Amino acid sequence: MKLQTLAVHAGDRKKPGEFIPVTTPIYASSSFFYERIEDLDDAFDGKKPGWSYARFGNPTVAAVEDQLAALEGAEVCIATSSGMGAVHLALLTALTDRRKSIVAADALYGATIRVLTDVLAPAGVETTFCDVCDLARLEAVTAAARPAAVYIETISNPLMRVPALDKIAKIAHNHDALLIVDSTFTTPVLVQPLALGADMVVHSATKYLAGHGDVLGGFLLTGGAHRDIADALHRTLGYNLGAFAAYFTMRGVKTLPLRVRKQCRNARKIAAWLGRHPSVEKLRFPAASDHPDRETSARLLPDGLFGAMMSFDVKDGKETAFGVIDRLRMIVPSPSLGDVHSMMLHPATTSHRQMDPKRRKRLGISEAMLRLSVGIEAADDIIGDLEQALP
Amino acid sequence: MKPESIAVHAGDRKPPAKFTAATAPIHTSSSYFYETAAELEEIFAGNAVGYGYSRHGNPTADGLHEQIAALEGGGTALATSSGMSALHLALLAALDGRPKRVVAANVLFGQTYLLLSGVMEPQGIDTRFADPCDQAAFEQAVAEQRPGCVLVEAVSNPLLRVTALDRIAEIAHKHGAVIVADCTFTTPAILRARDLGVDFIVYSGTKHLAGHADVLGGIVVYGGEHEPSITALRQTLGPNLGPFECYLTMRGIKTLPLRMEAHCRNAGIVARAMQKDERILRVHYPGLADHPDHAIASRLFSPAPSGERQYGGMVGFEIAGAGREKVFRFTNALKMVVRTLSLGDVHSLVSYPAMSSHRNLSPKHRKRLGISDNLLRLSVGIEDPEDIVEDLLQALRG
Repeated sequence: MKLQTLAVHAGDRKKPGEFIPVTTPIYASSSFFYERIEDLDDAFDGKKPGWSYARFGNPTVAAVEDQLAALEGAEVCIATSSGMGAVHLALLTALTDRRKSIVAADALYGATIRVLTDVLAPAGVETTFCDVCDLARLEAVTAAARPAAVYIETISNPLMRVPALDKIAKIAHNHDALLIVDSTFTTPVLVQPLALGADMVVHSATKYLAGHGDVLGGFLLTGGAHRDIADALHRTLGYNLGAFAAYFTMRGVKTLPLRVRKQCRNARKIAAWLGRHPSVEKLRFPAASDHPDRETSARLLPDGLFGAMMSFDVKDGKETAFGVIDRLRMIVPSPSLGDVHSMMLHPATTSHRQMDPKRRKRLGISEAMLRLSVGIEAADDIIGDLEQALP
Repeated sequence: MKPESIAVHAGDRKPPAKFTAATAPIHTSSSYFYETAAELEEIFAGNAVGYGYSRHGNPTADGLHEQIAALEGGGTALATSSGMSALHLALLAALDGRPKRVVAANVLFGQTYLLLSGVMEPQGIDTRFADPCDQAAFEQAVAEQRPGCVLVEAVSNPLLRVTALDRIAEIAHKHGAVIVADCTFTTPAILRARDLGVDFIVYSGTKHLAGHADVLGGIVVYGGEHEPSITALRQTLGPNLGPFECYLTMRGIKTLPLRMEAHCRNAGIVARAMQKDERILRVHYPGLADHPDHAIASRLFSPAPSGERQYGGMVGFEIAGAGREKVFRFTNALKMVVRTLSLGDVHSLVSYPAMSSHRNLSPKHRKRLGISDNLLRLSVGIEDPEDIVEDLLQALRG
């Protein structure tokens, strides 16, 4: 072969040898081939397991999908380019061949509300928002709306309400609806929604799962009954997670149980300390004895672990809240959550900025609210930083 | 700080120094912060330019966006997780505030056809298909359908028909529609679709742009008037391209003009060699004088930096008297040309549309479109052309 040809071909496309790598290789390849084209044809058909084109499947991505499926007890797992990609895919899957109606929790992440109101509503999907912690109300709303699915978060963002997802699954199923659960705040370490009756689980992998603040990604997990529709939509829409992000996520998930348990233990100490602080009001943390869902949390979440997210108001509103953020020395004031490092944000201007201000006010997401994502640092160091930053 | 706090914080989150890196750094960070919370609020409010959460913007991605917009001679580019998600986003934005109706080319990439019929139709978006190479019939379809947008491919997959994008853009605009064009086969190195009036240019970045078969990604390029629709949709749906893929795409594009020139030159050599071989029934290549759209391609496609004419790097050919079995025998006999799917890579690769890109169409539908069972699609690489021709000929001898 001539030099120009060797430059393109030499070294590449070697068949893997007999060795087995201890960790999954990063397959950047956009397509795959076989000794015989018949095998590629079979891979396309799904007659034989195999890879063809990266939008349809990639070994690195499949490895992290298998990892998550095992953790959630799911038959089907699809990794997506972002958590919102997974939310959208779950909703589209649930809506296929069902009524164009959704019942959703009234307090949800801002972008999730936007999918319902700005993307799905123009496609003819009607959403009824409702307080899902009020089961009688939810039952009545579901009976009236006859939705394709009920959509909730395991722990609501940023109000930290914990809906009784097992009971909500029964209500949904009584009315022939599916239950979709965003379990980003809990991860499979704290709750496995499919075992409690949920039909689909979505995650922002950007948060606890990858856990190191260096991945944007998401997952949809569900049972075999939804495989064909979810796969077909995913293959066509192509909201794929890249191979590098898949590897980072898989690597992160290896320490997920250690991290989340440590974060939850830290969070209990910090919440106890914040609850006594004179400038802190309305601390929202599911372990608090006056939390409205204390009982549900204790029932659904394991071993005294109540998550590692909390929110609270500071006296005197937005200016004081911004002052606290600006004085932080170690806690990172950036808009995400679930990372190894502690993080704080101001929901009204960041995560819930897209929510209608009237609705924010009605739900209690005030200008004085701060949301804390507790990291895996020493609890004393986190408390020390909060102490010097709070007025 | 105690050890577990040090392990998490030491070394990270250094403020940027005064140096400028010669190539764009890979920003993996999922979120960003500033000296004060007020600065971050200004960014979320859209009053200041900057980064907050990576679904909304990432500096590595923005490097790629600028690179592509500059090659297009204007507009804004957005990188997405795949060519299909770029197309989905472009169609949703094109229909935002417009009639939920589409007129699309009758020959399209198979998955694009599925997007229209399987995903968008159930959402109340009606598509009518028409032949964009028959401009009178296409205009009539547009006049009757009164669509919000028109969707075409600059060079059709897999028959390599060349769309007169300027004329189709005129037709679309005359009837109040915007035009979305998939320009994966041409790239800005061959065709600047914005200059021809195209409103949304869509690419599978997986193909010629990244060019090295190691990225799954897509690009949509659009004008400023569509910025609000695109921004709202992408921030909500999150079809982001990861920072590693952005970097690899940007790195690939640095050699795009060189690669496209070599792809095109080699494709011409391969097409002519195949045309001379009696085992080949028909060759589809816009650079051949007898191709039905040779004149349109000559008018629209820009020359290489060397001044050589460019007609793309894709060649279709039909093996005389071949069915599926004979086609499989041919591909299995190839020694260098890779028998895989995808296209636009540095290496030559051959795919069988009836089995891969267009397998989801019914055999009847394929036949009607002219995608026969003896048709192979060759993506001609940048190897030495003699090596490519020799491999094809030895496999034909079989």
